[in-house]
Amino acid sequence: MEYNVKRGEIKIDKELNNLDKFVLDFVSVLKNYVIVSGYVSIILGRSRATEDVDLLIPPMKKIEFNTFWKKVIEKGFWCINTPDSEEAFDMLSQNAIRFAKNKNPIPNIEFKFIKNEIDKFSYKNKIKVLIGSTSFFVSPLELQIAYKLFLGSNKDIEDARHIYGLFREKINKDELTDSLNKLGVYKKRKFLEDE
Amino acid sequence: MSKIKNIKVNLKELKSEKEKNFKERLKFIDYWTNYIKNKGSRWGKQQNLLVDSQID
Repeated sequence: MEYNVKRGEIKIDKELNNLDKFVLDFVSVLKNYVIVSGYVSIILGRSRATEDVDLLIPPMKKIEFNTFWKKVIEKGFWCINTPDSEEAFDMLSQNAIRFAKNKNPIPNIEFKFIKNEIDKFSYKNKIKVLIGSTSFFVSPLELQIAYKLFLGSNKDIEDARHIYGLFREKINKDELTDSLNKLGVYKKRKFLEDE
Repeated sequence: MSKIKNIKVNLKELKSEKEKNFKERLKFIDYWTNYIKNKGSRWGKQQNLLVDSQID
């Protein structure tokens, strides 16, 4: 795995698994998105599964959402929350909506509009993960680590440690410190490595 | 059949076991990240097997 910090790209030498293909299929209808949370550590090799993939999208107008809805339904996805695009759009102003494929509710994509400053930062500073000829956009590693420590479950701490352990030499330590402080989890940095 | 209310549980001991288990899990994370860094692309197939096992 190679992280080119200047280019904001991570190259991964592996075959796509079915979860990767599921995600790729979905994001292929989107121009702009960023993947956050658990799947970021999984795509970077974390040895666990997930039932959902968290996606942040810049807010859409209804017309744009309807176009996206038609494309994603044509690809075989369905919205778990409602079959009605108008209702789904209304839900997005409050919550996330979830899309699954074929008849199975898992895995699913948790689809949310960017709302807060952390979301905006993740999107503006996203990095590209390249697997063969395909690519995904994920949140910046420093923020991802800090956010996982903020979430704080054992699983989340393990995810943070995984990302930190893989890219310890390349991670921007100042940016990581700032991210930890911003989320009030500076003291949890002890979980990232044994002293 | 015995009843759980009749057993004695040492919560302090259980919490200590929980912490030990978590430390051990973190050590495995370190082992796995080193494996990814040093074993070329071998990690990918193993991870794919795990991830694909949950999807039809």
